[in-house]
Amino acid sequence: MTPDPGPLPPSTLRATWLITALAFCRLKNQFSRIGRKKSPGVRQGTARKRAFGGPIVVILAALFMFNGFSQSTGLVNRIALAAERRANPDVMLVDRHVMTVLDNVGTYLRERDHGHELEPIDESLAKIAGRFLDRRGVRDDAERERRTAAFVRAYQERGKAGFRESSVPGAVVLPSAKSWFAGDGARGMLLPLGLVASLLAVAVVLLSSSAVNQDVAKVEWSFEWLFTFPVPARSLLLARALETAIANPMAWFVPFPFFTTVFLCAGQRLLAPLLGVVATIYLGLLAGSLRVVLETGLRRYFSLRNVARIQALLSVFGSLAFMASVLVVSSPDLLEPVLAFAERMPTSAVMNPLNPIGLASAGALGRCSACIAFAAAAVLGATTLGGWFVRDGLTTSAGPHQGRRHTKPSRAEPRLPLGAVARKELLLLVRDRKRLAQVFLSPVLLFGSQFLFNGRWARTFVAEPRHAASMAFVGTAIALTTGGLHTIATDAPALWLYFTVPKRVESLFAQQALFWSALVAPLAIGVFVAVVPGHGAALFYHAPLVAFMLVGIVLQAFIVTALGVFGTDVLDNDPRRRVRPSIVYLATLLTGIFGFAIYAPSLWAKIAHLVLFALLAYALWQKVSDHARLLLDPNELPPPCLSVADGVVAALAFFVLQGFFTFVLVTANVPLIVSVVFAFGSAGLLVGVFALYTMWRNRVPDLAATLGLVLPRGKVLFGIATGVSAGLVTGLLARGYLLVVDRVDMLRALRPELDPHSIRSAGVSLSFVVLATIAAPIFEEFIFRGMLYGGFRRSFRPIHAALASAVVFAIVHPAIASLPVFVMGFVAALVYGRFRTLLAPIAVHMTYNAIVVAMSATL
Amino acid sequence: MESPFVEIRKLTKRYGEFTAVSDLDLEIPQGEMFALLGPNGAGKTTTMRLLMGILKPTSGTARIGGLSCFEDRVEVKRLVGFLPDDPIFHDYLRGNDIVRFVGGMHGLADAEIQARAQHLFERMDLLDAVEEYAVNYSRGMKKKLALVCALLHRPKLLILDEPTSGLDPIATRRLHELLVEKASQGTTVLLSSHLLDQVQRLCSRMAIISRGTLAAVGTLDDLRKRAQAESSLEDVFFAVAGEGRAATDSP
Repeated sequence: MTPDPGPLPPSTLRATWLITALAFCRLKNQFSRIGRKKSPGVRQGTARKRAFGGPIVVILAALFMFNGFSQSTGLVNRIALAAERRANPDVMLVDRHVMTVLDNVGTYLRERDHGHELEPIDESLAKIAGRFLDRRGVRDDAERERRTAAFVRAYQERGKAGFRESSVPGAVVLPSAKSWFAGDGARGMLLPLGLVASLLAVAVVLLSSSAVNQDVAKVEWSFEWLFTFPVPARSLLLARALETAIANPMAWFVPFPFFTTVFLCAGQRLLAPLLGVVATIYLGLLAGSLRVVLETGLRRYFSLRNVARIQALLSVFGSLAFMASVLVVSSPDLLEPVLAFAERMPTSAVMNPLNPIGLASAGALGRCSACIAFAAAAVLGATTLGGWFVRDGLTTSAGPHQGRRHTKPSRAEPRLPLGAVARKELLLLVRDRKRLAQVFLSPVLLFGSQFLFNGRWARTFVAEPRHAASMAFVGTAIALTTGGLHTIATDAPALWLYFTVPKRVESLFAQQALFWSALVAPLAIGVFVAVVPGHGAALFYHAPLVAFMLVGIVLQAFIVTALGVFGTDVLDNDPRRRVRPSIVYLATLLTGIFGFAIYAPSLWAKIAHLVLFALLAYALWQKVSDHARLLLDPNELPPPCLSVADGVVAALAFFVLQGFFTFVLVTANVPLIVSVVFAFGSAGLLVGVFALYTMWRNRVPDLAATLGLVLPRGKVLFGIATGVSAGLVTGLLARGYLLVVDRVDMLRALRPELDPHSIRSAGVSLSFVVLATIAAPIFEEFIFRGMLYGGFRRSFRPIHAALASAVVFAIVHPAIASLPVFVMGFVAALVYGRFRTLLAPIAVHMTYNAIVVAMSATL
Repeated sequence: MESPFVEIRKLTKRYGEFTAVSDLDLEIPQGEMFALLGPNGAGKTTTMRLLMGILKPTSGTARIGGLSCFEDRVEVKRLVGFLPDDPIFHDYLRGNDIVRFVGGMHGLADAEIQARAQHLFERMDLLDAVEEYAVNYSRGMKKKLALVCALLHRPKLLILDEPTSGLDPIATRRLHELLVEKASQGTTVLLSSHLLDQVQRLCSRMAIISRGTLAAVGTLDDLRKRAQAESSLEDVFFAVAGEGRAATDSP
């Protein structure tokens, strides 16, 4: 008796549908989880839905789509203008505006003949041409020069007859048949567009088939899983190819808008979106076929490491083609080289039935069927080939669990004098080609493409050493972001090892940060030496600049690693979702801060930037120390407490609000000194209230005592008395210092506009006295002693915390006042540390400011 | 009386609304082999992660050798070797690299690591694979490698989450021999398992956890008496764990 065979297996069509639907479902789930964060009280392992995931995805998708359409429209428009120009070499094609202006040039010439003194006609014509080229978006200097000269010559030789209004409108936003130049047959429009289409096709096919986000060398779970169903291998492979063609976001956001735009402009009207879909699916099918062959064939014939290498190579080529096509589409400067290249190509290289751009020309339906036939043949071939590759099952097609071992004799590894963490990071980087590419490819591509496509500009740019230094810094910062930040996410499943060893987890992350800075620092020096004129010698001449850059790199490594610790959900099973995108943006933003510091005008400004950057790094790192030990705990957060970050945020908000209020008041014609006083007071009050409220909301324990807002029994009077005497001493010191400064020419030169203690031009008004002796001491002590010193005190000994807070306090003051202010800040912090009530440092500050103001008045 | 080596008092861990471990009390004296039993999702792994200081208790305390597992987690880890349920390693590190990393982090010199690892690899029958990338390890091989890592610094306490799952019968027997040997040298062993007959043979005392709470603890005889069940641990397990389930399931 034969057992009941159960239900019939699904047909190929049904299987394909099921697999594609699953792929869509996966995509949907991936996107709808954008923007989650670790919140207390929710278990991470449990799937949760985000209410706002949907709308964000829709908006993002619409933005992407719109961008694709508008960029493609711009490209078509530029190509049409160029094609029209080439078709009419003997006449200058201009817009209506220029034609009107040229009418007036006649009047102008007649007036000149009557003896009026006016500017030479050539200059006027050159200006008209310049404005016209601005409207056309021509930015390349050589091109502008050439076309301006032709413009002037045309008028001089033939007058207005040398010009004609262009039939293609200038700036077009939406695709329309008007921005198509049909005059020159295929060559004018279709050749350059076909070139772009080929680039896009290569990019889409390579990137989607080499599966950017997954390792072909590992059997993807779903692939192995699919083979457990009662469906023939060829059906599964076919479904795989179709899935790649349809559920492929990259294809729908890039080639689809491009092709649809081109077809709309070419006059296909309602047929255009349909043809766009055909072209996109066509590319997708080619990608799917290649993917099937790669997934089955490569694994059968190559070792796993080589499969990974081939995949990396394919994605490099794919990324290059993608970047090139994006550059061509978006940059007007590249139009001429592309046109020249297209001109030299034989027509058949682009205008063959296999390039979907052909759908733009007549006989679209016939070409459509050619494309479909070819895609079908490709898919059929690929599935047949794939079926043949897996004829012995998946077992021989390699995979992680195949149990095959290449036992190599234990060889003596080079003994590197590295810590365990650094050795681990280095080995992973050297062995994992994907990681290596991830870290170094993006900066190389970014700057390499600029040098390649924009060579002249790039070379003039880096001639200035500061530009070279900032470029080297930004390049390494990108490598740090892709390396130091993302490796935490990549290695998240193995993070448990950090929790089994007797070391503080944060100290292991610190070692990681040090490793990354040590890795990229030589690269930064290399880039600097390579691009700066003078090369090796320049390194010597600009040693301070290079040293400044290197310090920045170390700080950036710590900042980026800290952001990696915060921004990574190490418990998420999907590596693609572990890093929060906002953290990557934040890292990029912070890179800008130091990139900007390189350009700071004076040594003082540089030091100030450096201290602020270091402060930021430290503030983040203190938070890392709180969070790192709880990284694997899905819901526990560190206990709320005062930290340096709170102080930094409060100080920043204080200065920003102050500037903002002053600006508003001065714009409203309030006298400067009143505005300053009012802005200072209200900014201080706002920040104070908001800081208190936030910390109260966060349930910081013993809030009043933490911030020094208490009157400890028996210490208040003694504290105030000590404060007043300390203020007297530091105030007199400041007075002596300013007397010395007045006698030293070099220092006096700094003085006038920089000294805040003497807004003498405004006179020492009552409001200024109030500001200096009451408002400033209260608010600044609250922020710099109460919050910042308090934040430092959590990790530092009192004397070090006092030093650190005083340094920050000094650098936010003008250079000339920084030394006495530093001494005052240091003493105030010590006094605060001793008496634990803010009244004591306020007394120091009030006395100090009173002495300085009195001195300004008498001087 | 000497205080127990592992001491768990009123230990509770909540994930939001869900309570994974609730008011757990356990004591394990030095040198004992102790088993944590319970159905899937009972809170065994959470308890072990709490003991490793990977998770912070919502309330209650867990102490090892008198040290608080979370507050003194760095010191605690010098005493403990840990084997997670499903160890995952960096794909592109070789077995040797990983062991060297772990040994380095425990402050062992390279030569010492090599000597100890060689011995352990041999006992675990993993010598052939030490030069292979971890990405190509099977589940059982990863488990063996993680065991080598856990044993490398000769810990006083071994916390093993389902140590034999994924191991072949030969490796399982070798591991058992190793554990018995370690225990005879004074090492405390805390393991979780679903293989009740093995536990019955190996462990002197055991605790059955059900839905985060302690259902029963003691020697096999104690448990038999409590459950009024005959003969095997399996019967006891069904009686105790099933009883907890029935109690909570009923409306």
